[in-house]
Amino acid sequence: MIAPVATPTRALRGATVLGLALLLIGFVSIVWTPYPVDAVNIAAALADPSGAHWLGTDQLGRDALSMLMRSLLTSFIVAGVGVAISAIIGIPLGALAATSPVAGRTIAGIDRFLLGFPAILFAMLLVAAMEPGSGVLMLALGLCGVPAFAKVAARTLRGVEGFAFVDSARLAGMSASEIWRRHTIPDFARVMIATGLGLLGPNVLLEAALSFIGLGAQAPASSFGLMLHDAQTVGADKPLLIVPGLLLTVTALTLGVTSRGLAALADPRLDAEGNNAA
Amino acid sequence: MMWVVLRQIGIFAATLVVAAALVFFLAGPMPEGAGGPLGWLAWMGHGLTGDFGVSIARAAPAGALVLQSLAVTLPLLVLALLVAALIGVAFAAYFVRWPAAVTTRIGLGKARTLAVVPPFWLGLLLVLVFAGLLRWLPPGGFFAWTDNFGGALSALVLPVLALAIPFGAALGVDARRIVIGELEAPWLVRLRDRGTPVRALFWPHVARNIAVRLLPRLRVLLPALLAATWIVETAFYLPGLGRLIVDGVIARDPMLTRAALFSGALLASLLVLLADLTLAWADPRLRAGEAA
Repeated sequence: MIAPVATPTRALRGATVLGLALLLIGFVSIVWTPYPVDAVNIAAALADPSGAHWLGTDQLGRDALSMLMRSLLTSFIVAGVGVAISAIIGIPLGALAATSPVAGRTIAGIDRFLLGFPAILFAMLLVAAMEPGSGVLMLALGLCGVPAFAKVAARTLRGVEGFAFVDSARLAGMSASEIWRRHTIPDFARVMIATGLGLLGPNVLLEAALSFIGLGAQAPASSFGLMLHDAQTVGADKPLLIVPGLLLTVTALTLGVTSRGLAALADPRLDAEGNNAA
Repeated sequence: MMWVVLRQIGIFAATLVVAAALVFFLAGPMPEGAGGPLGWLAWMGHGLTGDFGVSIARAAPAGALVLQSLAVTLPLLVLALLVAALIGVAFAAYFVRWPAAVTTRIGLGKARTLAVVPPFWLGLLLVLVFAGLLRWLPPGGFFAWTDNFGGALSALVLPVLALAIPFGAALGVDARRIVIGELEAPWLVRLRDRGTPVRALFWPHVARNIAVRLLPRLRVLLPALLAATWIVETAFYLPGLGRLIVDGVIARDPMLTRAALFSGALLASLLVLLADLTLAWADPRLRAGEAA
């Protein structure tokens, strides 16, 4: 069970391909969707799926397929910018914590605080302080992800020094800067990428949940949560209630499988599911 | 033990003071003369007596509104937790008992997928099937417990399932991994090979080890279940705490927003405290830590 995973598993390859396809569809929606996402046509409201509208239309006559494509983009952008904010603040904080115990204790304190003040609550608070919208969500998700990055960054920077391969590199006559360039930085980058990917899935789900309760994306923006909210409010027919949630679940699942698989590749101490084998 | 308990309660109190500061200063304007650090202290002092000011949108004391909403959120949370635990134990027991079965391999994959399904969407699907097609249960809304107990309980059936299925699946997957890990622990394997029945060792020794590893997961899962409860309330038009927060934020009702947000943090912190104290009780290493 502790056998190191050297090659990507089939689940990881499948999830990576699917994830990239979803990302591509999301970005295609910037330049092309079957219909403009804000093209309101009340006469064609709540139409059933047909040749013209593959997945039907919503209560304002907007094409559901076009809105789904754009929702995918919203998911990736909000979750991705959130992760970027977490990384930009978290990694320097972690680097500081690797050398300063005070910074380490601060991070541990923030981390413990967020346990009793969940990300959803924090996002609700920021929306109360500002205006509902995707920008506030990015900021909220980004700030809540800071301790995750900082903890891993501190641990990695502190930990890599103690590894046997670093000692053997030093004994082989490698200079300190060379060890940094050849071992520390690549190892660090791998772990940071795995951390960022690990935050994407939960961020996607949080964005949808907050948009569903009305505190996230606001019309005319498009989001899975907002689509489900509208479908529930107007009592829409099955496709509008099922497809956005299905696509949301598939996206979150894909990101989860990819991140756990990549984490397992980067760290042979984890099993193929990204769980600590020890 | 004493020190561990005091320490956890100290952390709990510190969390609440920081939460109170964030909520007080960020959740909208205060009336003239009631803001600033002194206003914050006054707000906390009144809060200790249950006085959180008046909601302008609902023209009612904010504290009373929070208490009313808890009559929905707390039963929903407790029932969801119980059903999720049942589902999780059933999943884990089946997976561990029959590790090689085809149903286990398929079931494990299904459980991992179920664990990611957003509870609020599962709620919409359950409404579609059990309220829309079959008409067995109400699609949403709530009754006061004292007016119509049966109606209130049946209004919670679908929301409880929407929460318990994903969380039960997540719990089952984690519990399976932990139980298998403990059953393969070297000391147990050695005793088993020498002929000691595992059954005799399970309750006095193995169960506690499982609890010690499961509780840190619960410490994360419990606040997540609470947060999911707030979202699911919207899917079923339940007047719970999550709905109250959202209504306060959207109506720009600062006193209500403060009271509801702070109560949310209080509830989440209580759940974490409960998990931490149980862990301290179950893990002798933490109790021994009082010297350190």
